[in-house]
Amino acid sequence: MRKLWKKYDNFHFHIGLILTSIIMILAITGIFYTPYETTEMNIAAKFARPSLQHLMGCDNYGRDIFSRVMEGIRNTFFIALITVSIGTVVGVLIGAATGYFGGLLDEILMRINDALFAFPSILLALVIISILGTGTINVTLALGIAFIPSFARIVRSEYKKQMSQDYIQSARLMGAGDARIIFVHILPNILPVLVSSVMIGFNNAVLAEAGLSYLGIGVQPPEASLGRMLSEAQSYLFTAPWYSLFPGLVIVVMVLGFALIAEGLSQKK
Amino acid sequence: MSDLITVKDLEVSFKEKKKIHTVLKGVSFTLKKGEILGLAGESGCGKTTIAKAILKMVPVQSGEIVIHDKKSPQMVFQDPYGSLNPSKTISWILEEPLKLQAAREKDDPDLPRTAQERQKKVSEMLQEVGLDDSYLIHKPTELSGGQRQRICIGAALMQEPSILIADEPVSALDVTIQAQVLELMKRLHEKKDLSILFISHDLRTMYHFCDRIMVLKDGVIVEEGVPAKMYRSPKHEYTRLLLRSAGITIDHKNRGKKPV
Repeated sequence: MRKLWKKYDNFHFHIGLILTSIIMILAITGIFYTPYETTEMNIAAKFARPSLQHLMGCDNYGRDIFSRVMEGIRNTFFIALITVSIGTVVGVLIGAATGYFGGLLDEILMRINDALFAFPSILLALVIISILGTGTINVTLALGIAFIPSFARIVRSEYKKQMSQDYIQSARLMGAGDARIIFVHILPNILPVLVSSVMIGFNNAVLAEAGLSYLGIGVQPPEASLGRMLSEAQSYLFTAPWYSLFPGLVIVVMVLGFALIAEGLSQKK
Repeated sequence: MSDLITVKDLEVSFKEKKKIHTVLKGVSFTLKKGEILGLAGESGCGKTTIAKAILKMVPVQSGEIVIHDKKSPQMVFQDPYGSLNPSKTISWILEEPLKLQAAREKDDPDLPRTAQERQKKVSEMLQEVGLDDSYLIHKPTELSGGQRQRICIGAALMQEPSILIADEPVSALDVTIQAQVLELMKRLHEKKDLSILFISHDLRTMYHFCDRIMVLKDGVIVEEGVPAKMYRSPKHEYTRLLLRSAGITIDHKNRGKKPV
């Protein structure tokens, strides 16, 4: 961590890292511990204001918002992480194969990719969810599939750029096979672009998951999700503003943190 | 001297906007063991295509290329900036050919198999190309053009090939660095009995560097011979034009000495 801090010695990266660390600590802690049971209802504490007892106040069922936000962060964070992982792994495989081999394979896969790319990813995810059904796993899968085209396109264009370099020819002459050239020789050269794309993709995944949960097709109750909390809180926007404020704020911090890291990485000394 | 490469009636064409463009029109020549064969000609005449055809990097329409050696030829490219993998260290770049060779030739007991043996070879090669171990941890982006080209030559020679194809290896370097790199190539050629196909459009350099020169015009070899004789009495009008364009006045007494 200290090495990373020094390597990317800029304001954006440092602030981004701090914000993301806070979110990650809350997400990981949320797996083992929350101050209150997230589904525990306490009518006496209904709409309780933020206090030392309930840091972010309570919701309409008297549930502790901080505990639910912790669980929501955990759900949103891991859904976004798996979504981006699916998009990155499959996107890299398709992009690398099409960018490296070109020809008919490139034409076929990229035309399919273009067809998928024509739909906004959230719309594509909705179509996939309508086939697979709602629920956390299905939403994760749907978002993952919806994210593949954008990653494939970025990776393909980076591989195409690298293919014109003489070091590829040199590696071939020395006897390196296609798989070794693709993954050992070229892949490290596209990592800076890929990491930035992953960061941006992660933010999009967070927003997409929150959006789908807000619409009621993501994480299902009683499990907490930041998007669903916002959806439930909108009726109490004026009577209990903290109910919508804190989940919204956490989404902003999560997205801002990763966006700042992406910006910081692009400003490497 | 025995032949290392025999090229016979080589023809290479490319399809360009539905038109077939023939780049090489029946090229024939041989590269002998321990020889530096120069390939001269203006840009676009097909010099690099000959090299790529020998290395099977372009499809050949007709003709024959026979390499009389078990080891495949290696190439030093014109651009030292794009020839080295920018994300890898010099140590990795020089070690990779050894790893690939060891994986390919599993039965050869002489090849370095352990990381330690490979590192020893890498250090030796660095010294041979005039650099030291302090460069091992550097990445190509931290080196100058001349240093990069030295690494390119070193990497090309790691698998100990008998044939080296140098495609304008010094044209991207400034004049003093050009002389140093050519001197290095000459030294390695003598030490390792290396055969070099030296592609260039710089006739001055070729005079000092090559044992024999071929002049290529529009995909056809128009003249071939030893530099002193060719430069003194060029037979083909195109060779005369090239020599005149280069403003060559030859001091024949200095033949074979260090290029300036």
